[in-house]
Amino acid sequence: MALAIETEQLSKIYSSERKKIYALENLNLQIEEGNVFGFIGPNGAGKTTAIKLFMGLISPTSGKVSIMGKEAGSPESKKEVGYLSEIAYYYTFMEAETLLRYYASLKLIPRNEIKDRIDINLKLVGLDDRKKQKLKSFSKGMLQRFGIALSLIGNPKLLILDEPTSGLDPIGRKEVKDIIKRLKNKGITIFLSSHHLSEVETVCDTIGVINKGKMVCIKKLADLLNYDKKVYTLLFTNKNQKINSILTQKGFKIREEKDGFLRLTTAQENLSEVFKMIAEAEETITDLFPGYSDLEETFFNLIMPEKANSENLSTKIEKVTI
Amino acid sequence: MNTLQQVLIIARLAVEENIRKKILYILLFFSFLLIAFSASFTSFNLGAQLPIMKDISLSGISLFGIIFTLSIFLNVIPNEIEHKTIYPIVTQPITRGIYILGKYIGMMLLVAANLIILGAELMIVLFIYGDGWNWMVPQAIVLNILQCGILGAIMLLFSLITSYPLALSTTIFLFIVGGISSPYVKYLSGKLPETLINGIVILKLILPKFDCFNIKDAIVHSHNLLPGYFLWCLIYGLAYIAVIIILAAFTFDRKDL
Ligand SMILES: Nc1ncnc2c1ncn2[C@@H]1O[C@H](COP(=O)(O)OP(=O)(O)OP(=O)(O)O)[C@@H](O)[C@H]1O
Ligand SMILES: [Mg+2]
Repeated sequence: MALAIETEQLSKIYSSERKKIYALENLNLQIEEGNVFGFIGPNGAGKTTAIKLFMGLISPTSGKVSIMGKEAGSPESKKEVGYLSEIAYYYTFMEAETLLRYYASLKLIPRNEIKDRIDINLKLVGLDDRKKQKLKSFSKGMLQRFGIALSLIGNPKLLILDEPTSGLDPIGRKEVKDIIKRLKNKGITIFLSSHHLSEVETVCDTIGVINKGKMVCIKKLADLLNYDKKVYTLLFTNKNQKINSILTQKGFKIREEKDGFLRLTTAQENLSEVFKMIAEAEETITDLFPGYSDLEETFFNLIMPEKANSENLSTKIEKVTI
Repeated sequence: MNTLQQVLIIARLAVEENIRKKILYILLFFSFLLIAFSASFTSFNLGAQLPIMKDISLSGISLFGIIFTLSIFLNVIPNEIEHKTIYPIVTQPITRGIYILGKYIGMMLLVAANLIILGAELMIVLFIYGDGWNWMVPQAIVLNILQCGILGAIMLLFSLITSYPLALSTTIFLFIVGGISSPYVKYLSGKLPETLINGIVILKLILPKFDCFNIKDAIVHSHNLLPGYFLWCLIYGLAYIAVIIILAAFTFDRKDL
């Protein structure tokens, strides 16, 4: 199958004030057409850098990147791509419809189609009643929706979305996911970045994790889910406030739940030991189930076990009791 | 064909973006007043009145053009990069060159429109004061637009390369050196250090000859231009602009946004 995005040893180094920042190092990606690729990583991992390279907004320090088989940044490649930037950067003095019309004409969409395309896409993102409104009166979420409409206006074959669900309320996030699913069914290739696996797990076929400019792993979602079978997650009480440190000393990672319960995920062979310790501490196991409680955890325990505690990933694990 | 369409769309966007700038209306307002009341700066001696009116008005128009051009070209692209409103534009299927050219044309349209308004006003004022329809004025306006065109292109090029205080001071410096007429350089050569004079002479070789776009003296003294002078200036100015815009497009092509 043809490749929608292909990179070869793609690197970007920012030099600022005698310091070099390795924003992206030797990225090798091959994303086939029709694929939905989730690009996950913490703040500063290099996601936006990679996306800017795909769009030709910045030039690589070394390596190659081609988009839809064409040189990244060339008009031919951009013709087939819809792009949503991380933050909304639009002329706020213009009306939504007017600005979309300008962008659509730059995309060389035939004049007689432009109005329909604008109407369809504004409706899709729920802004059809706002088209005469200036962008400066838009909320953050509305601007994000506007951006999605813009990215779709050219009927792209490839969509590159930098954190498409950021700034949206839960309903908005669900709507965006639904839009992505619908586009996926149409066979559009989608590349999206996010901090949170849970944001993308329901829509992506393939997931890549990036950290500190390096691709840590790329896995098919199905392969990821298979890991679940070998481990168990248990929930238990914390009445005596002791069990936590006992288990942590033994090297287990405990997560505190909001309602005061503790949660632990561990391999099958450790289960009897854990049961014993919980019983000795006079705590009660309230729930036990195979696999991880969420995919997020799967990821940071199985894919990057040695990194699960590193400071960069602390955003992922809200509370790790020490 | 498509490229042209895209250039014009960027130009229209640039017009929409810059037409809301207050400085435009403030400058235009004062220049308009200056021309309208230029007669009151003169004595009641009718013979001397017209030349002085022409002098004041044409100087005003020229100054207006320069200040307005510098002020809009100064940071329009750096601003757009800074606020990243350039992202949704350059990620459309256009080249960076189309973007630069479109922006340039859009802003020059604004400059030209304003200079034409002032030129028309001057013609009317001169007509009222008995000079008839002075057809040198439109030529002066076109040459003024060209001068602003070169100035704007230089400003745009420098604004892509360096910070705007430096870009602005360099542009003004080059404009002043480029505007020194050759007789004046000769006149200065006794008064300034020789190295400085040599520097000016060398700089003047590559700099645009801004002084040639100034036909104010001819208009004031009601002289005719040499045959072909206007056409020569037109070609010279446009060629100069083309070279600088091409340089700007190349500079911009690899720039990280
Ligand atoms: N223009 C720049 N100049 C210098 N360093 C930069 C520049 N842009 C990004 N960086 C650095 O490159 C690294 C990667 O940044 P990038 O924006 O790609 O991260 P990200 O994964 O998108 O993060 P986030 O989730 O916060 O959006 C960071 O260390 C950042 O500081
Ligand atoms: Mg980012």
